[in-house]
Amino acid sequence: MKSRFVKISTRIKVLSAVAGIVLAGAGAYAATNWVVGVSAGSSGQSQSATISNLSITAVSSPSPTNLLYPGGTGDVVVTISNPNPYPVTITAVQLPTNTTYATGYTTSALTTTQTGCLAATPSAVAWNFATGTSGSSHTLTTPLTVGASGQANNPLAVTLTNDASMGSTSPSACANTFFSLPALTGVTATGGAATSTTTPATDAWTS
Amino acid sequence: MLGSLAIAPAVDAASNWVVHVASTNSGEAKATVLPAAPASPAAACTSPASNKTIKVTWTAVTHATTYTVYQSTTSATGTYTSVATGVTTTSWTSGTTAGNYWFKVAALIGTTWTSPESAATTENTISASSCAAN
Repeated sequence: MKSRFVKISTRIKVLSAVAGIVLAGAGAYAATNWVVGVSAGSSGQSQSATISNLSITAVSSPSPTNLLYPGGTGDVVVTISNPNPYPVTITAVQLPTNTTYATGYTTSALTTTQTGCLAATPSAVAWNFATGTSGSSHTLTTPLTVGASGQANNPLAVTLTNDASMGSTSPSACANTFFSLPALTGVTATGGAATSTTTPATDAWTS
Repeated sequence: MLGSLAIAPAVDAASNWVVHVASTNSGEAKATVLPAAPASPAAACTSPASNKTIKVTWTAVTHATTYTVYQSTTSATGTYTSVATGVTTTSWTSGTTAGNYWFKVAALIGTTWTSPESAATTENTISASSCAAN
């Protein structure tokens, strides 16, 4: 099995296949691991590989430099974990709609919600550059490569500069509040050999 | 095993993978605090004094979109009422109605983030023919 996986991994590197990474949402996608088809390209054949989910989670460190205010933008801090035995390079993200709002919390632990500043209030905090259509794609200024499992720069901490926005109608209860941004609808990535991005990193999408 | 294992939910092109991200939230952001009261409010008669108006000035507040000016006609500690809203600059000029005036200013970010009112300005008096500081 190991030699088989090595073979697969090698082929992945040779193909430098592009991976579209979709967030969990539907119950049918609840499994941790996924088996996906990998085309052999010009050979017209396909090869299987076991690919585990990436994890993108909210973290409080490093602290965001740019803080949100009504009518303004702020930084979003995330960590990305890659359980796969090869690096994964993320090149773009797909966002929920611009009316899919974040919930406010009293502390960076994101455990106690902030009264008067919930997603349904609404908080008016959303991903910057999101549109009225779910799934709009936004290219990162610099691709992010998460190291292979057990290797350096995995997990990868990333500050997404000014990639959250706060509408001018955000209630005053949202002042000095921490936000858990809504789940991305997708991530586009490339699997295979690459030099990992040094953690902590700074990146952004700007349109 | 050769051959397609078309288990992936939506392969986007002939040779692409589709995998999942195990996550229910995707990032953390923080909001700044409510704005502080405008600093250094001041009121002075415009020149010439026969204009019979008072110009109120204050220091800009970071991210403020508008300011509200309040006035009292009784004392520095009296009751203040709003006389100007939506002021987008850091000054405002009064009307010419005779009386004694003190002013305060508050900053607004967006539509709901309001600062406390500033300290009161010194007193200025508009008379029938001129304006003077007291």
